[in-house]
Amino acid sequence: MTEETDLLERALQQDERAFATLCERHRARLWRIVSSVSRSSDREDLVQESVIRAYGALKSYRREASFASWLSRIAINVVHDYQKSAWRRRVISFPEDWEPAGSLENVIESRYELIELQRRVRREVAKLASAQRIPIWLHYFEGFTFAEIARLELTAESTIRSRIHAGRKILAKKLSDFDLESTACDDAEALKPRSKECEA
Amino acid sequence: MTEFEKSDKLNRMVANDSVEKLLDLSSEFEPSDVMPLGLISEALASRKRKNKPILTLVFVGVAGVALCAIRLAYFREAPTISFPAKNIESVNNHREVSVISERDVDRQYSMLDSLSFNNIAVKPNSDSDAVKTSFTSSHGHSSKRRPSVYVSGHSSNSKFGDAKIPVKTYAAMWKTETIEQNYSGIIATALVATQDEQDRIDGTFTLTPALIDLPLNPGDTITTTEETSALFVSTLNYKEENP
Repeated sequence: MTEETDLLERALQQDERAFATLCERHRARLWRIVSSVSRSSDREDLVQESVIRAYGALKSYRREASFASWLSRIAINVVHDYQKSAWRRRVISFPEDWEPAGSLENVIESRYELIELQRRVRREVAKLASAQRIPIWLHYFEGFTFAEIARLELTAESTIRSRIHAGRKILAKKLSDFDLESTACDDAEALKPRSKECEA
Repeated sequence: MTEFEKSDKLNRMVANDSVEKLLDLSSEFEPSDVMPLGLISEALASRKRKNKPILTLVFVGVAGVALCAIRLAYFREAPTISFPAKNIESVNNHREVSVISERDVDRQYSMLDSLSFNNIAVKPNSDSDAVKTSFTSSHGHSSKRRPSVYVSGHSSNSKFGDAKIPVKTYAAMWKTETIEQNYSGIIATALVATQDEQDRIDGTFTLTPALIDLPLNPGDTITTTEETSALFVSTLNYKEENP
């Protein structure tokens, strides 16, 4: 029995310390998810909300999928709720409607603008419906395979693929202000060191 | 940009996997700072703190219900809560005014039941003799003793509870009716002698028991004889009025 499995067993028996240890192992993932949509101190609240929700829903955890994907899914849902909440709209502290000035070449002129672009895309993904939001986020941003997402969602891989395709269509509409046609992959290479497309 | 151009652009974006490029680009996102330490433990600790007031509230509720049940079971007495505002009688000496000022109909009925109207001294206004009050019945609990109450409902905002839901209150008022009693005569049992045509020939009378009302004039006197205990009224005009 591995250490993570042991911790999971104890956490499932309502051992708070074991659960906290498990969550600490995925703290970087949680922080990255919540930082996609917020830069303020709301992030800490979002992490705490995710942890509390996960602890409350621990009985519903099925061992088919990994704990990391399950916890990420809860955090993505928390982020989604935050995106929709009126409270967030009141305390927003950075320009929400950031739009690129022109093509992606112009956009990615600095590291700052690349981060803004990434935030914008992630926020749009977070606004999607659950059926598309979870597979797209877990696959593209957290690196989970289709098979793993299918186990988490208790559905077939083909369903996950079709959901991702549908989500991409919706995103294309929302991100239509980006002019990506003229963007060559090499243009962004300097700012995007580990792009999957370019690696391929 | 026209709708057609927009649609064409979307189709090309999907076809060229431009969205996928954007998604791949966004996958490299890393927050500039790291998560503060102890955040997760703090969250789990705050979860307990959040539950504490609810548990306290539940405990207080259960304890209250248990106390009420015990009191009912052992003392056969419903627990009551008395508010200072309800204790009007001790504040206001004019009981009628107190009753009128109450705006709760149920409360009024209970107060009316508790009040003995024979003991209420309704003092007529010295300037006007128009108000005369008399409650003739002095025994038992009769509906006649209860003044007629007119209830008219109108809504008003409650100071307590949900302000959106208006709580109906009632303004109650009643009038005191004047009951006058006049002694106009005596109702007595008597044998009424009648004579028809045949009897007149035969010289016989037919006697039938009946209630007769003997009107009394101011000068009339009522006397009884010990032997017969009958009532003789010097009403000479009785035959004249009832031939």
